[in-house]
Amino acid sequence: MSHPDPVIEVVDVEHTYKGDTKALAGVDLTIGRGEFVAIIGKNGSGKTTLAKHFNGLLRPTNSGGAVRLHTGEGKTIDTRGSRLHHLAATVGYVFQNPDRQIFHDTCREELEYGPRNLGADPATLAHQVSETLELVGLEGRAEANPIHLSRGERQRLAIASTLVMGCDVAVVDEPTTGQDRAESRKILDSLAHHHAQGRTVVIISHDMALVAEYATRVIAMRRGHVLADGTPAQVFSQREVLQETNIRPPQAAVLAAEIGLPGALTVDQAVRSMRDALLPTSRTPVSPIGEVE
Amino acid sequence: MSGTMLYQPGKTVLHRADARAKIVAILVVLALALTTTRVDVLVALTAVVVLGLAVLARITPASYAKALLLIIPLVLLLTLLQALVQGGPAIATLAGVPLSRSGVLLGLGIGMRLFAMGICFYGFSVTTSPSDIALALHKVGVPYKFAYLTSFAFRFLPLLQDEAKTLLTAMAVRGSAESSSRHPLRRGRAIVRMLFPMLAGSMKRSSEIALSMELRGYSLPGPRTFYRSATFRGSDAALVAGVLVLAAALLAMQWQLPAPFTEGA
Amino acid sequence: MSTPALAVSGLSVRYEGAERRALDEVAFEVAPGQIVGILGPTGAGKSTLLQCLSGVIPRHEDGAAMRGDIALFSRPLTDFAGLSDITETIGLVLQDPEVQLVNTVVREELVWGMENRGVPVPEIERRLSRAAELFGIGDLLDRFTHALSGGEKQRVVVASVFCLSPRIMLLDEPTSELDPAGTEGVMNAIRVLADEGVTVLVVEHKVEELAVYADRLIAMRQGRIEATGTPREVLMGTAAPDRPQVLDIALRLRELGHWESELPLSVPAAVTAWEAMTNTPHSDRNRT
Repeated sequence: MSHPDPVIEVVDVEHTYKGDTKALAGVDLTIGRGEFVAIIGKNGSGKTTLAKHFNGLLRPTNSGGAVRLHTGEGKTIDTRGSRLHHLAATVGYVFQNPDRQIFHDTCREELEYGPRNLGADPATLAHQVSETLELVGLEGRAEANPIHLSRGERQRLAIASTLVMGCDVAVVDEPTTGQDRAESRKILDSLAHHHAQGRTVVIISHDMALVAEYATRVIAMRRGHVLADGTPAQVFSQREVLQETNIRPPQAAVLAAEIGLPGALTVDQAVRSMRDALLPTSRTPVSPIGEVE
Repeated sequence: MSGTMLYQPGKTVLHRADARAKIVAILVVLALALTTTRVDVLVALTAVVVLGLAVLARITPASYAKALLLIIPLVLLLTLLQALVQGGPAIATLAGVPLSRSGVLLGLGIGMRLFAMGICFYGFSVTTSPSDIALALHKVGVPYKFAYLTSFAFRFLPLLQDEAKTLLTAMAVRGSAESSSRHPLRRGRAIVRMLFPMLAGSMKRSSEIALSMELRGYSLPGPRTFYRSATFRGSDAALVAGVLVLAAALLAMQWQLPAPFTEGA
Repeated sequence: MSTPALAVSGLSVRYEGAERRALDEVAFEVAPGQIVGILGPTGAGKSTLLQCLSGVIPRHEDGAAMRGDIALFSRPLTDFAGLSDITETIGLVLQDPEVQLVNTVVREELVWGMENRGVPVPEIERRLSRAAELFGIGDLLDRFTHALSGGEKQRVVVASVFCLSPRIMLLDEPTSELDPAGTEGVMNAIRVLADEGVTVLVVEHKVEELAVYADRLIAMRQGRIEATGTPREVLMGTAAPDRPQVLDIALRLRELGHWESELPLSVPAAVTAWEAMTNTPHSDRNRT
């Protein structure tokens, strides 16, 4: 996909861990400003390795590979020549386990840490912090000790402490692992609110139902390659390709496709198109269903 | 990613040797290293250890050179200190201060001692699986519950290392210049900041680890089976004999040859 | 019903300083060889329940007050001498795999518990190869435990409890870090074990898998059991915190008056039901 306003450019990136096979075997892609990208793929397909290149946590191991960030102010940064904390202002990264990235005694201090490092104006910091806490649904918990938050709340705190830095891009690794459905939704809603403010969001996820609902673009990885890249509808309709890599589209999408009503991805969409198909006036288009095994 | 001191599986002579034989070998080297400060003997000892690892375990000096380089400043510091403190004839003067010859020799001797012991430990931990160490300790009479803890330490060292790394990286991606700083003081601040969450984390975790060990019968009183076996073979006896012969040779060297570089020997 | 594998009655737990009970008058029975899925939002008391059933509460946890009766195969839990004694019958897999890997190499991890129990070496060999096959970890046996991925760690942890050959297995979110293929692998293994008579209680957020693999479901909320029954019974009701998407779709179409067939729990069932519903006019037309 090409983008009029790119924010991350990944050019021919390979990555080989010491003494191991190639985790990334030549990836080219551009992430546009304002996208909500989901990277999917089975364990070990290279999702996290790819995402860690977005903010310089990993650098390409081939000399020809490059990752370039385009900041809001029109600057271009090559991650290879930059120190990690310099990239932090452009791309924020939330690790999988919230407990390994929370190191303060109150939620407020936790949120202040990032902006302070970036030289935030103390006058506006308090406002920034309370706004972000509200964004992730932790308003009123500013002075709470993170130890006393639930697992889901801690995950949202970890996300908030990245979002509060106001980076152009927020990369979040498996935000809903081990969370219940209601909590998973709250987490994704937080990211959606952030996205609605014109920011770019990249998540890594196994939860295809959430991906179908929230992402504007899906990148499917397999053995270090990009296997499919497009809108959720485009990617989830490539069923043979996905089967190969064990990615299963959400049940709603599979059901809709199996009964000859492709295009539906979410429960709402499936209900709508199935109801339409069942209405007496539209019985005729339903007939091809007999052909589906 | 995690420390290079960890066990690396292999099929060399030392890998296959019984851990007890290797422990004896280490003890002999330690005894030799700690009972002399003579540079010539210690150089010979280090050379023997390096050669032994290269031949018996195919471990080239390159694999531990980096760790040794870290000790060199320490050795130089020690040597300088000894040179200033010790009396006797001077070997040179530094800014008008005489450097004692015997002090320099003593410092270098201690340095070689560290080298010999360090390389020896490295060879042991790289060629011996933690559970073999535990088993060996158990076989020589240490109760299993204590012997197991050595193997347990090898499991949790990399875990802590990993966690520290993740925390430092998490700080860096939130714009902290401290955590990736090369400046030891600034980096030190980041490490202090990291210490508390790490400690709190390990406290909570250690209770869970104890529980999960309990759930798998760690404290059952009944007889325990051992899946792996440790047999002291002829080759192990040969290894021990070889080490003893070398030790005797080095001792002989110490007694027979005059100490080098000494005044009016 | 024959002797239940698990019988629980009047079980209540309150943690020190907590406002409400973590478990509140919980009672249920489980027949041997069943897979029971435990559903519920965070804070429902699912993990606490598993800890009570395995004796961790009150034996390992000081800060929890517990009352009520638990029996394993009619034997009261209070009759067992200690935690290690209980775990002869029951195997518990905790949520975090990291704290349960206590050896450096995978093979030793699997073997360790059996050694502690004094299992003879030939039997250790037998179970080891069975575990490798069942959980698809044959190629991991010589790897370092610290170098495994999250999903691999979870499989090793479940396998090492399987190696103890417990009659009842309690699994706390055993597939949270696994992709769909990995999840299915673990679920299949559990099914095989249940068919051999092992009783399995599994806490799991993945309802789409539970709907297919579980024999019964227990839905919990705020320390209470809100519903128990077959997956269909529980998931259709209001107590379910989440439903398989196909069931959701069918329920909503039924509300709109469009779904007369049986409610589906899986995609194939939904497709069959849909075809039955839509093919009727289709075949009618063929006849005329």
